[in-house]
Amino acid sequence: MESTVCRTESIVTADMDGETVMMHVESGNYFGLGEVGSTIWSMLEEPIRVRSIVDRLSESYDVERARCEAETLAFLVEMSTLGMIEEIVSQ
Amino acid sequence: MMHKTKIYRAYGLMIESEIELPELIEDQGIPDVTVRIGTVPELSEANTGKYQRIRATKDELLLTVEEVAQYYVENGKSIVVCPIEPIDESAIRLFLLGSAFGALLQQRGYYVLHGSAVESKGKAYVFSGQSGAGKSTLTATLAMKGYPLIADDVCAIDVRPGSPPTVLPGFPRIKLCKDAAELLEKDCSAALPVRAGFEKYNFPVGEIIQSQTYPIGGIFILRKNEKDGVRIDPITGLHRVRVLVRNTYRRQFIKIIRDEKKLLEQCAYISSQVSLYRLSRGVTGSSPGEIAFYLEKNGWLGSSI
Repeated sequence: MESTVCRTESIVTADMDGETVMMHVESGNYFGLGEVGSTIWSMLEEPIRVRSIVDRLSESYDVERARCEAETLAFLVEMSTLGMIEEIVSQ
Repeated sequence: MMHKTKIYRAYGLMIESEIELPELIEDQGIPDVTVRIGTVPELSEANTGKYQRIRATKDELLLTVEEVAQYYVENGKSIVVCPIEPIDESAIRLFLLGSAFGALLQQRGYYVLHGSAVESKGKAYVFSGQSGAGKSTLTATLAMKGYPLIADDVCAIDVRPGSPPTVLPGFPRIKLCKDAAELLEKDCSAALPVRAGFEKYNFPVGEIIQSQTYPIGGIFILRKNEKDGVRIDPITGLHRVRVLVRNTYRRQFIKIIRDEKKLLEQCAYISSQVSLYRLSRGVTGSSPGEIAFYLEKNGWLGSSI
């Protein structure tokens, strides 16, 4: 929860019909983000702590804190696996 | 080399060229683009492709085609050709009108698809797909059936958020290999060979109105499959974007200058505005004539018989 995450350099995005389309430049993989995914992605414009993401999502969506944490973490893990985000290891 | 400077018009642009370009239509006007013969810069600081044959920055591209020429394309406005001895004029024109023009159009901000387009009822119907999938042969068949050619191989699309994507008028030639030409009963002696020793020819095809651009009625991605006959399926979701990116003309030019974001934006926009279809052609029952008939009969070209 205290980790700081940021976008990787390999993703380019575009808007298509209100959805965010993403392409991983090296792998040539494509992803679409739904509403929540797009919201999280826009928060990642600057490096941000995982805890801050959860805080902001809890405010915007009527969801229990613990559930928000769990789902956000799962989502971020998946984004990391797909090469969209990475953790910044602070010095 | 023919050094008489002439002005031509293609892609809506006035092109002043020191190299004679019989494929293009002559015109008069203030040039938007110049094509000259001369020496090219080294571009030693630029990004390069895997085989060093392409060097590029955002506004410049240096393409080296072995045994043919070097092409320096700058700012969407000028092309300098440095021929390599022994001179093969048709080959020089082949890569000039293909890769160099493609790069020029990309520099001018257009999205360039590797495909061909014909006109029906004021709209462009575009056929794309891998080399050998049959785009040009199908396009030639449709042109012979009365659907005028808009562009062959280099299909430049004007992508502007808020407006429908439109195809720019190319030049009135279709490149066909000898087999395709024979299939369509075209006389190869009436055509220009695209390159010495290659059995591919550039056939004149009617007229193309340069003052017109064409909103897209549909984009068909051609591919062969094992089943017989013709099949058309809509492409949906993210596949649309993937398919367009994959069929981008000289995609490596864009990769080298790392302009993938713009490419993605253009493809995403086209996907949201235009219908995309997969046109599968089988082992039998899908000659270009049969495909053309299928398209017409089933209303895929904006009209029903």
